[in-house]
Amino acid sequence: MRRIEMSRLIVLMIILVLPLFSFGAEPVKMKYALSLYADEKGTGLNQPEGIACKDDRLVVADTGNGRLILYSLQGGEPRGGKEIKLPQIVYPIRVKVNSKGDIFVLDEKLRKVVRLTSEGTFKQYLELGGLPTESMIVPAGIDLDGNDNIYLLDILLGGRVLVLDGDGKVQRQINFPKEYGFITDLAVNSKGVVFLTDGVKSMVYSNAKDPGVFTPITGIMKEDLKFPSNIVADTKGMLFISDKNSGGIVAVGQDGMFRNRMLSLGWNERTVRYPTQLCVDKNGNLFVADRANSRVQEFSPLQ
Amino acid sequence: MNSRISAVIWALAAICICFASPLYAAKANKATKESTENTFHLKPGAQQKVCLTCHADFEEKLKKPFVHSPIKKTGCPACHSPHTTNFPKLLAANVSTLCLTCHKGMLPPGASSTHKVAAEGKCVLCHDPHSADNKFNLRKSGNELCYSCHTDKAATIKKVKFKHQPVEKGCVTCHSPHSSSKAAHLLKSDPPALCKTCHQTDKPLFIKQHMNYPVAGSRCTLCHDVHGSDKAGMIYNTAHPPFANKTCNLCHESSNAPKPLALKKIGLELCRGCHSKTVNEMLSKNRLHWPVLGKDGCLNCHGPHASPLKGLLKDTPVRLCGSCHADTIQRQENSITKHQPVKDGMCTSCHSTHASDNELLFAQKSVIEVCQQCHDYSKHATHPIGAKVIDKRNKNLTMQCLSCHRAHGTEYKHMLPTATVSELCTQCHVDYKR
Repeated sequence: MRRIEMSRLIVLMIILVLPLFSFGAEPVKMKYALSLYADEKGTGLNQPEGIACKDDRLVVADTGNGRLILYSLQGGEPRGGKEIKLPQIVYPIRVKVNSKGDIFVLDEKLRKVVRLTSEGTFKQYLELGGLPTESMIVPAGIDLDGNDNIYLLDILLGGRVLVLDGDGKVQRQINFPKEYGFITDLAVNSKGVVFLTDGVKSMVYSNAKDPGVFTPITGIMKEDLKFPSNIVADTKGMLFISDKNSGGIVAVGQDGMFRNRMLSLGWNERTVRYPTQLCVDKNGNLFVADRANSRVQEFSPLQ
Repeated sequence: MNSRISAVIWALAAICICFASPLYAAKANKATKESTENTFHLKPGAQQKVCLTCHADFEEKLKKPFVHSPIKKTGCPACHSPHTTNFPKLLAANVSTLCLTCHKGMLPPGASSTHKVAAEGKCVLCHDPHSADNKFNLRKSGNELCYSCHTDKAATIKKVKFKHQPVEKGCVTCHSPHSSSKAAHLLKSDPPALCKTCHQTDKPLFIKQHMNYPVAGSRCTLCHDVHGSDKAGMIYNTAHPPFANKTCNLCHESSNAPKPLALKKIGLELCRGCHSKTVNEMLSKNRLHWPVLGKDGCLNCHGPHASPLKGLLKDTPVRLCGSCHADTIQRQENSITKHQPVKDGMCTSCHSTHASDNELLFAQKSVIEVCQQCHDYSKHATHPIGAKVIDKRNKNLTMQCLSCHRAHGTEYKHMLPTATVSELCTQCHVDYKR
């Protein structure tokens, strides 16, 4: 009899504790750290759309001024702010930095990827070799994996992600998912898993299940994410997504689980207007290109 | 032992609940059914007459050729309770569900399209629940009934030069009045299947008229206005010149090619052949509307053959832009204060839809210039704005209209981003903050 009572008690405990595990994913929380408004000479940012963090460096694509700004990160705090203004870059919208420090810039007007040295000297326009089908591409997004492979979002030809080696030779392509709305950006995590944001459907896709096929990892997130425009993957299994039109950043686990919606639309610090590219530094600090507020904001993780 | 008894009691209670709910449902159905019988135990012959002693005007009405069958059978209590109900006009149930108790199959679940009025239970908009001069108790005969709501369509149909015979015959030739299980727009089936019920696509004349291209499987309504048009062949009033001139091979492979409907080039490159000036101008701008560069290029928004709309647009601007920017359209719909150009779907009043050098694809460099097209700032307020007035909240910004308003609306008055004016002003004028 006592045995039966005990087993009932155990069943009851399981029933009570199970929901705690099911819904136990902690919401991601960030606190405001600082804002960047200018380069080292005090020239103000103008509608910056791109931002990249790598080791101790922060690169900002100051889109409205047609230039890049290089900062050094000291204890997560940006210092300096060297201007890189080149005739080969007209309208930079996204930036990435590889393990060697080379800077990759996506130029919207030229519709080309520009490769610079770590010091910001022009190296080359990225030439694609060994394209599997057509030679025309329209790059709309870029990311790099841990091995410096380049992932390009090509919105032409029905849409695809082109995976290139470090020299720009095409290794493979992954077609956009079936019945997508409009793919706005891509992100690659440390394991080489690719994530896509769909601006129209407010969804995230990944190729985690099958490297050659994108499948949704979230449902339609219209309630929390009006128009996802940019995405970044950190090293701790998290995705951060800019909600451009309604001003906010949404955190989603790389498994697709919603983890939080942060910030709101506004002009003051701690608010954003039309946020675009995001990056996460090695300490987990999140940098946001706060485009319409012509600044960059940094947020630190709250443990 | 006690616990065993309590378990049995709980189990019995669960079983009771499971079984009782269908019984309650059955009872409710029975109650509805009874309303069509002599529920009120009226004297023989009194059912049709007792109400008319007061509602005398109905006596004349019920002489019309088509009387609702429950009235003939049971009289007014079929739908009305003579004493008290919870519903208006002493109806036995809510008007949105009352009709469906007898007319169950009108709105089948999973229908591809449903007539909004039917879905909302507004049956009486089309049907007279008592009697009518028209079959099915319709309030008006034929197309006149549909035209009483669809006035725009009626006006077009009446004035077009080339009329479509089935439309003349009646809207219900192609449309189901309540719902369609097969197609959108209440169509009895999707084009081209629907059109093929009259038009034989294998006839030499049909093939010749379509320049020998295999269009039998194409959607006819992409080119033809089935409600009539001023152009021969009922082509939509705005026709793409290569299409109107029957020079299909400017864009498509020749009709005898292995894939005759295939396009000669992809995306923007196809249109560039003729529209090089527009395309080059577009590509010279800093910012491009990304869909322009997608696989379908211009065809994302423009029809390649014909359209009822200016610029060969595929749909009205508000619906077309809203197909991607639904959140922006929604914001306006939820806004207390409506911004007229947004309300009217005139997105192009402020934005260049192809490309622009300016933020948010604005047509002008300065936001103030954009707004000044309609608003005279000097009559609006005395707050300083312009390139020389720095926004106190952010030294990289200058004051302009969007410093205080959101052009697509907010949940607050005057498209302000805050609930109160003081809340907004004190963002800059912090000294006045209380």
